[in-house]
Amino acid sequence: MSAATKTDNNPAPTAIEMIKVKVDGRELEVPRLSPDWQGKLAPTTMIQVCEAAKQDVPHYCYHPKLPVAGNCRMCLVEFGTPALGPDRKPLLNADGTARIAKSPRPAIACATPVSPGMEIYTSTPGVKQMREGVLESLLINHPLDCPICDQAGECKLQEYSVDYGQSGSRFVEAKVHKPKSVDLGPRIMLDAERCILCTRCIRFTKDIAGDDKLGIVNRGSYNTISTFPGTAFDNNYTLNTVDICPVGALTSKDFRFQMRVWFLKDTKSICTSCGTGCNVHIGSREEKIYRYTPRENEAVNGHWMCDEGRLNYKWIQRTDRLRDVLVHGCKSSWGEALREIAHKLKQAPPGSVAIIGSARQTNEELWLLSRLKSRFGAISDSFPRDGQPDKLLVSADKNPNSNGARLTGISFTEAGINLAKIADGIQGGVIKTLLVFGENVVKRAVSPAALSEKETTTEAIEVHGITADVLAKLETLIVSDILPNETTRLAHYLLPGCAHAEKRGSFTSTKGRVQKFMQAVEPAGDARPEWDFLQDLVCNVTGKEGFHSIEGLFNEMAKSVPAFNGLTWAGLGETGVSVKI
Amino acid sequence: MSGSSAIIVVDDTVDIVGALANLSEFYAHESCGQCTPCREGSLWMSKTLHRLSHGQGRKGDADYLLKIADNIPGGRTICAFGEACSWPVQSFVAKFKDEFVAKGAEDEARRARQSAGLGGEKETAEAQH
Amino acid sequence: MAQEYKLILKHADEPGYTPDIECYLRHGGYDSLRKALTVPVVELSDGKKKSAQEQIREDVMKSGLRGRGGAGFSCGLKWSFVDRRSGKPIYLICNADESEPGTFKDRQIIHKDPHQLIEGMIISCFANDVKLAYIYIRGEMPKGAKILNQALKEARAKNLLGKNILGTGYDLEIHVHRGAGAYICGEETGLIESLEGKRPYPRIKPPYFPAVLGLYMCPTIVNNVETLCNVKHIVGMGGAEFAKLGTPNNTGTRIVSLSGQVKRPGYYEIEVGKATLGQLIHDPEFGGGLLDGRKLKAVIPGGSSSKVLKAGEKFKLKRKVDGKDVEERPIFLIFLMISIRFSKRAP
Repeated sequence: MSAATKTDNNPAPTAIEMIKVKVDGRELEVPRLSPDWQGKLAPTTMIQVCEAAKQDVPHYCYHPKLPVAGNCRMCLVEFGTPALGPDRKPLLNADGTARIAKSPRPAIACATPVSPGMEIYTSTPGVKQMREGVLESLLINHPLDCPICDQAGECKLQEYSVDYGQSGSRFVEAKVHKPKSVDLGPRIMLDAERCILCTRCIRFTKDIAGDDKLGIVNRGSYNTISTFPGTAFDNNYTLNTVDICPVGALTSKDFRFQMRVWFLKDTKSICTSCGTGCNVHIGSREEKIYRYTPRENEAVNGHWMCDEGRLNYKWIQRTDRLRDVLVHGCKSSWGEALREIAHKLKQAPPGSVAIIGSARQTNEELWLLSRLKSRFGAISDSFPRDGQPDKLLVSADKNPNSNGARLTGISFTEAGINLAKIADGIQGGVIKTLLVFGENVVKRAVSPAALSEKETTTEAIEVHGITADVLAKLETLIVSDILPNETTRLAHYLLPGCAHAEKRGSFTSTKGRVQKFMQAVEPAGDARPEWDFLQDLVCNVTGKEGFHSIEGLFNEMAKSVPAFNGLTWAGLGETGVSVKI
Repeated sequence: MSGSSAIIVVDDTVDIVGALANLSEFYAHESCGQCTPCREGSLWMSKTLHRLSHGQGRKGDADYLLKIADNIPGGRTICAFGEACSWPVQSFVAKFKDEFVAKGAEDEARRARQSAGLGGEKETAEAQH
Repeated sequence: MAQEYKLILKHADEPGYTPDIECYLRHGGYDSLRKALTVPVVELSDGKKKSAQEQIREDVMKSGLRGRGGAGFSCGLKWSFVDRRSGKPIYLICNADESEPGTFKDRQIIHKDPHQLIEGMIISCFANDVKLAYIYIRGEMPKGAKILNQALKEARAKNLLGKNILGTGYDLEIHVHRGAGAYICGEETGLIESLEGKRPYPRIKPPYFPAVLGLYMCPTIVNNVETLCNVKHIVGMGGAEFAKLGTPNNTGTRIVSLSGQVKRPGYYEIEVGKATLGQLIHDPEFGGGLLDGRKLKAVIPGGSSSKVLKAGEKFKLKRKVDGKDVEERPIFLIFLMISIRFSKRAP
């Protein structure tokens, strides 16, 4: 039954027919059609029904977001369908219930559609024996690599061996050997012996990443995953194949041999490399981050993330991180520095303060900056960061929180249009105090004279006139950043901040998804989360007490920013909430 | 109703174990490798039969082969190749079990004699000193 | 006394019979095609019309023809599963990838009487509204591919193939596609994958039933060489007449490939059920018995993928018709009753 087309008389799509099926004796009602891997409606399969019934069916090659292959044969189940008489009418038992004819052959749950009255048996001795058979078949040529294999602890073969493995092997022949450290691509290492040929990597690379690079060579037991000889497996999504590989055949060159997965603490966070805001798990141990892996969020990134974003965490552990509060180049304390800054700000004449925020800061930080802005009537802006988008996840906006900057009023419809005004203001002596948060202002600065020669178009905004010379004209330059750069070296007050993995907060993605992230590791040295010391500063300056918990701060912000009205920190959940932007 | 109507006649000069080994090597070579039971099972059976027909067999290999072959057919594979590679093994071993068992037992006995023989030679050498 | 019944191989081994079209035409070739193409549309009692194609398909169903590739599935039933309402083109593929060890019957037809296959194929394509068909021939038969290509060329030259065949307005093109030496390309979905240029990994069913989602995801029929040749004879003599050959549930003739340690290995065409296994092995017109001084040990009765039969085995019949043991020297079976099937269940 397909959804009816919209007409004037029939604006809503037809509801999908529900059918009754049984899983291990329990009856449940399921829709006859369900979204397939592409989200299109297709006949509901047994494995989807078993999932709805909370009955696990072990599988290797099946993945809800990849086309069905049906080759591992691990999800074989037994089933029965209502028996029909010669007149095609259902036969009944003595008690009036439908007589079920058990199918003589099993079926793979991932590909077989359910029909009304079907009964699925997932725990019969026959099914158990089939699973044991498949597992044994997979293990006979599988190398005994567990002690050195990165997949240990998150390996499907290990998991199912607990339930369906044999304690002793009866295989006495010579194992099939295949190449073991194949340099498949710049980020991927292949161990062909461990591969169970589920073809998830091939299907992902072809159908999701759109880059038909992987295939199988040789026959039978000698089947080996390979690229075309001479080509490398290199696109911006290759590391997702490491996630979906059920065994340790595909491993990340970055993460290989670095850490056992059971030692990793899992923190739910967001990637900050572009405005999409892919949900991630940060895997860390003892204040060191070892890897990012994508976190499932149907509304944002599905099950995937790009390689660039995934590998963009090493800078957090750089040894040249800003650790100390510096006042005029000398080490100081937070209390002293914030007191001095508050004093200076309170004395500043109206219109003499400018604020440059960053679209890499959190919603809460930008909101606190906007409170300073309104208190001092300051002019503000942030920096755009544009790049190349792609067809899958990568956004053209390389800032994780451009919308946050905009919605809180720090920047306007286009980030960076106020920078020229700020430069003029400083040059003209009107602006005497500048707060810079998280941006290396002088990096792309050219002299204002040269700038005025350019057209004032969007492209020109990338380059602006706030040079080091211009900054030298300021009375007070307050900079907060994470890594040292030319701007931090010029600061009168340098406040070390935190990478997003070192604090909690929320971002608003380019599509308007407000998502929160949690803290994975402790900040370096004396660095403090920006929202934390900004809250102190705002209290000092306004004299009003604020919230020193992220929940309280978010909730307060949500009340005052129109786009966030109605949101609460708790209500963001693990997958965020969409707002109108 | 008789398959592809090809009749292969085998007389009493044929070594059944060797014939089955030959056949299963063909199936192991031709398995496409897509699904697990056939891919791994066909080569497993072929290796076992190769071992059995080259003097490295065991008495229990007949049952061992049957157990391997039972895990392949009957809907466990994507196509009928599962039946194709396992039915010959199942039927040959079941119907000519005595030959398979005898071959394996013979191999075991020979290996036992060889290792005993080695021990005997050592004794003789020691006695000579 | 069992005898050969030469239907398909009627002329193939006659002295002086050559694979060219002139020889074929001299022996009544392409008459059945002409007959098929000119079957008149029939008006039914309720006013509906039955097309020539429907009539031929019905006739094939009535004939009880079973596939000769090994599965033995009813040809008429297979044709009836084809999705004719999708709007997609329907393809027909002749499975000439004869790779089952012990089978060498299709190569006889291809090498000696290729036009019979082509005629049967054109009729089958016409009956199923097919405009484009393929003969997938195994890579180890290069000569066969050459012969087939030559035969197709000859057929095109005589307007028996190509556009507007014999002026009836029916277009059909047939291409020969060579395989590259893989047994799995004989499996119908493996063949389809190979024809599409991919690795011959068979497809999972459901959902990829060839009758619905076959070649290029269009409805496809895959038939064996011998099966398609039989279609020509069915149209020639009529389905009911064909059904008289053989036995009620298993009609027509079969070409048996006999090999192994017999005096006269070779191919013999018999009516189904009219010769027992014992006769095929021992009778002087067939196998001629075992080599001197040898005793029968085993018989593999249906291609190497079937279950072996041991000499002296008593066999209980599995057919619903008979439940009794039958004895026949020295194999205690009747050829007909062996329900050894190469392929899986019939849907």
